[in-house]
Amino acid sequence: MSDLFVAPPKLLLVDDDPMIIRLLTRVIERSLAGEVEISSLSDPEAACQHLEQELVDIVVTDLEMPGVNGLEILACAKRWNPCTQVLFITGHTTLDALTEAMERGASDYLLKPLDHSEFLEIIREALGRCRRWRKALAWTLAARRRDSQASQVLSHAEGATL
Amino acid sequence: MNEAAAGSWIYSRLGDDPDLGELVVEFVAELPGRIATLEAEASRNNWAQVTRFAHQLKGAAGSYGFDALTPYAKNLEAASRDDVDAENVLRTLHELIDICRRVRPGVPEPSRDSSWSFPS
Repeated sequence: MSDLFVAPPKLLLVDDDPMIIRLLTRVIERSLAGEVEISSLSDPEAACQHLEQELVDIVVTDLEMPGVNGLEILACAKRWNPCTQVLFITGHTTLDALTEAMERGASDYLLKPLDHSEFLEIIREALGRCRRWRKALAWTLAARRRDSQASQVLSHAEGATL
Repeated sequence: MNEAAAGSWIYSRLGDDPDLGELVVEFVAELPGRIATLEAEASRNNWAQVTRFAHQLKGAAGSYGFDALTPYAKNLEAASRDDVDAENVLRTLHELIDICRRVRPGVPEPSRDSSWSFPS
């Protein structure tokens, strides 16, 4: 089976405050060690470049950042992999921002200051969805492979009888 | 005034967390730098940057268990965001600085009073 299906899901943390990144990394690591591979960036522009080069399963991003904001990170993530789940953590929200984020495909939204239990809960939910999608994708690819092998056998058999 | 004796130090509710306590120490160590940045930006009337750093502090302080700081950072963020009144920004900034000066890492040391018990 491909590494895609057995390796831990990849999670990217994006926040322009390195102290938030340090805290969230530790909160995830101590409760979900081995269940997820974490990387982090405090430069949102670099995060967009990272998403163009790496397959990422879950992105946890601040909404309000200088230069590239969270909605642009979301667009970038979805452009390269529609299955990437984007979770917003933000200290600032308006109904418009919340609605726009959800309309564009955000998976969840959490307000700062962060409640660590709530934060872990949305990460666990995202990991659960990721595992289900990987299972479905693996099953679909296996079915396609079986169909392809069957049609090869069939055409081989047809060739032999002619 | 002896602020410690008055019980006015502010501690994080995560101060005694075995995993997160050391990060709280780092957060407290970096706090003077954050305040200096806010003061420098305010002295240049760079309100957008004041808003940005106040916004960061608002999110970080509560996430690190210093809930008492959040409303002060929020006030500064609001004061510097739109229709800026410089005097109001500086007032809210100084209120934030005052409360940040009371922040301490770790957990409160037991006071002499805490060992007191009713005489038998």
